[in-house]
Amino acid sequence: MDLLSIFLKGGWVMYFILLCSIIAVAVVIEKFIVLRKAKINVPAFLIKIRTLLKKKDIEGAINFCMQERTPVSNIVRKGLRKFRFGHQRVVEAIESAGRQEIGKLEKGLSTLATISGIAPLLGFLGTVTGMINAFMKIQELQGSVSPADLAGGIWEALITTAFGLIVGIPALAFYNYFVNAINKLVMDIELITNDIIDVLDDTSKHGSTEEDEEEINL
Amino acid sequence: MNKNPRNISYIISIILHAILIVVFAFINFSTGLGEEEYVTIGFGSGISAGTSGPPGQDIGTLQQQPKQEPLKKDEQQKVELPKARTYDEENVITKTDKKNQKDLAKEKIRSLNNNQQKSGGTENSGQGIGGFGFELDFGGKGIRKIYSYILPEYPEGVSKEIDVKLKFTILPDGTVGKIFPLIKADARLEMAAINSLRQWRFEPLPPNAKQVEQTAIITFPYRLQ
Repeated sequence: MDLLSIFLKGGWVMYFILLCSIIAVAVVIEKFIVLRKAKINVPAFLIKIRTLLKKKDIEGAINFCMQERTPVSNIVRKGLRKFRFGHQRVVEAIESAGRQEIGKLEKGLSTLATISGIAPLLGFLGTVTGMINAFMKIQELQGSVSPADLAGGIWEALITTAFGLIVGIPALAFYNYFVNAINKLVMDIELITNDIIDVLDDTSKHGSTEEDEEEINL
Repeated sequence: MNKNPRNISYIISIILHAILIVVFAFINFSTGLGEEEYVTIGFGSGISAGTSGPPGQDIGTLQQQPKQEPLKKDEQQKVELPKARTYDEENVITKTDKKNQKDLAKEKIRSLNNNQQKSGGTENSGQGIGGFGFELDFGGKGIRKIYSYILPEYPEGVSKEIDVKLKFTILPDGTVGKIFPLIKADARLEMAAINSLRQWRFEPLPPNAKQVEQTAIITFPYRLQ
């Protein structure tokens, strides 16, 4: 007996589990792609942007962020655009951009969490309905059933639980993995943005003093 | 930027599932029962010696017979005493008693699983209701029941007392596949044994078991009277 015919014996619930599986796999692949793109070499990025900011090359820093095309660089870029409006506006812009980017990163995770909970439950539903069918048949046969008939109905009913768990367990594992990975990324974002805000503070102070000095010199 | 990975991932996911479904169609799921390569053969009681049992008849297996083990020695002794009118006279393939040539000789069947034979192999002997004795030496785990068997006839012009030992494979459908003689002795006796063995029918493997060829060894002791 091949696995496909075993799969089909599970009944209508199996199609819902299959749909869950398709969505879960799609979300997992999408998250892998997004997280791979979002990954950033924190020290390298910080060194580069610090150098540019210390030179007071805000435009250069914005261009560098445009080239990077990661959530961190997007946040920094949005902050730098508000540089001329003062420190408070930069912090606000970074905070709002951060929330946006984290929202983008976490998109789909709730789907994965739902599937990891729903798939086994769908399996249980299939098992319960299968059991009901099996016992109804036994009653129709007036109890004149062999253990083989009984076992047949039961194993067919249990298939849905097995497949539900096969979908649910990896979905839960991937959900936890992604939550962890995104948390790590958020920490990186916080580190970088705090650092950049500090550098911008320093630059603006130094900048103003330098400008004053230049004016005096002139 | 965010829409592209989503579309790509859904397409990849659907393709992966389609491939998985195709793979599922080719994966055979077996329960792991009754699929050992080396098997013991379950003999039936209630079949008169030398006649083919009706197909599908419920046949007792080895597990039902270990209590009769003490009979083994008696039977072996009786085989050597042609004057005594015992069960075993009928169980020997005789040259003289040609009418009863179909009567079952003492059959020795054992599995090829030598490792298990050394460790856990046991010998069983039993006696069917039909009046034949047999000896089973087995070490395999699986059991294939015999549905029908025909005993070899003693060919004319041969006067030898030898044991013809044959190794044979049982195909998944219950028919006998390849037969290899293990002891080279007399070509005619060997041919008679092979020809009869070829007509034996065993219980087919259940559809959900792994469809493998199983191997067993049988000994036909030809005795003169």
